Amino acid sequence: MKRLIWLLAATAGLVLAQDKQAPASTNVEFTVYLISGSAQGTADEVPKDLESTVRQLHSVFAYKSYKLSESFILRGGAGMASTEGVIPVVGLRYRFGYFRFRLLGDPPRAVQLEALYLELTRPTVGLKDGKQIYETVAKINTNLDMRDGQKIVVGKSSLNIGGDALILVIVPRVIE
Amino acid sequence: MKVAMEAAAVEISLAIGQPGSERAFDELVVLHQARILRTAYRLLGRVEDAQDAAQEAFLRLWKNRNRIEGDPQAWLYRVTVNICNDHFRRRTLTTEIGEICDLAPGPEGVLAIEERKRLLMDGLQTLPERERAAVVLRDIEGLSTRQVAEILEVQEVTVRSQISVARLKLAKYVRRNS
Amino acid sequence: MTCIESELLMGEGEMNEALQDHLTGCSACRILWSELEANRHVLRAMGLETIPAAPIQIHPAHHSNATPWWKWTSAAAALLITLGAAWWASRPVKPPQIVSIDVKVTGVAPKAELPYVKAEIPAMLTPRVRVVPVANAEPLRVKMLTPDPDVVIYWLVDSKGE
Repeated sequence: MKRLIWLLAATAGLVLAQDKQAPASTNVEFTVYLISGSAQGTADEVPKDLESTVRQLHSVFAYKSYKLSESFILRGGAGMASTEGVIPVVGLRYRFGYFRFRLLGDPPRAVQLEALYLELTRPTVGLKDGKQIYETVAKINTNLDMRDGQKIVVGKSSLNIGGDALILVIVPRVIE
Repeated sequence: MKVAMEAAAVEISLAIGQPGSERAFDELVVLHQARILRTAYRLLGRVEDAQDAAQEAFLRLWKNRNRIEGDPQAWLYRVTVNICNDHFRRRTLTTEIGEICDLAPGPEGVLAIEERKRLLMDGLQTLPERERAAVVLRDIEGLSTRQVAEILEVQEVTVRSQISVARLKLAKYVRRNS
Repeated sequence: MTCIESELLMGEGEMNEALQDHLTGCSACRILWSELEANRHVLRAMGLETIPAAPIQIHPAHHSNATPWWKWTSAAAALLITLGAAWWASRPVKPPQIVSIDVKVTGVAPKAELPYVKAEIPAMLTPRVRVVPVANAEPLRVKMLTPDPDVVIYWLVDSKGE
């Protein structure tokens, strides 16, 4: 009898231990769109996925047109991640990244993104040996709260002398 | 857009030494003020001191406008570093870092970003001049090792070594005080 | 590789195979590497911040080579007053809280009804608190909820008002 009780208790313990196992590590995939908002122009040039987002922007701000400059995907675990590249046509270099994120709650999960940054730079006066110094054209540096699948728009004005806006649309996707 | 911006930047640097270059000077201030101010702030740790140092740097730029050769940005950085080093030597270290012992890591045991930033700022003030300047220009301002070497007027290998030592000192400072 | 050798490599920020092998077996060096990486990231983020600027005042006499003595005196006084005002304005004060204004946009208005405003944050969305520029402060953020629950807008205004 004692042996049976011990066996039952051990089995129950094993079952409970299985339930408490740490979940497999979770990644988040961020789809990022770089958009410029302009006081000029008449028609938007954005993909279908962003049409509803741009409609909301039109209802809040008076920019006449929005144009997609670049898009990319950054996938990472909870620690730092970054990526960089060159925006076609205008030739600005961009660096995008974040310090870390936290996932909260049940699905659809809340994603707390810490120290997200985007920096746009351009080559400026060169050094004597032909190397370039890059200077910052625009930058965004902030923390964000978002939900899995939401479209988070982060923007600021004064991208250049003409008063264009720099707009990021970030779409997180939690991969468990 | 890219070509127009590059042309404007070249035009400013060529005009700086010529008579009637006040406008070029004003544009240079607009271009570089934020960066110079931020560098000075990271070197000195106080906004007011950084504003004074930036003011002094641009004043010297104006006074020497006809004698500057090459890239005015590198010259500005160099002068800013020198002004900040002079300023730092004259200043007595304060006890602003006294609060650090109250800091504790967040619930996950990982130092929060604001706490780490504050510790790094305090740690920078404890570094020797050269190491502080090297790490501020390289790791904060994002200049290349080559650019930093040109600004500090030392060899690249010296800069690499100074930065490496500075980073290790900062890491140990943060760990010790967190 | 010894810990001292790996420290020197880690300080340079370069990961290679030998260092990787050492880190695999040495937890103390692994911790140091993660600290160095965390510091590197935060330092770089510090490079993207804006520090409140005092106006750069060069001696007014810079526009003329021949400067009457009385101009020097009045210019010096103006410079002192300006620097004093700048110093006064930039004294550290309590860091501002991030202001988050939840504005419910109740619908997509037909284009014809929208009055033309300048391409900036509409005045009605400007927070009613005085924004005090403080070093290391995040830019002011205005958070806007829209009728589409999948779309949230954050608009940033840094201390220069850009």
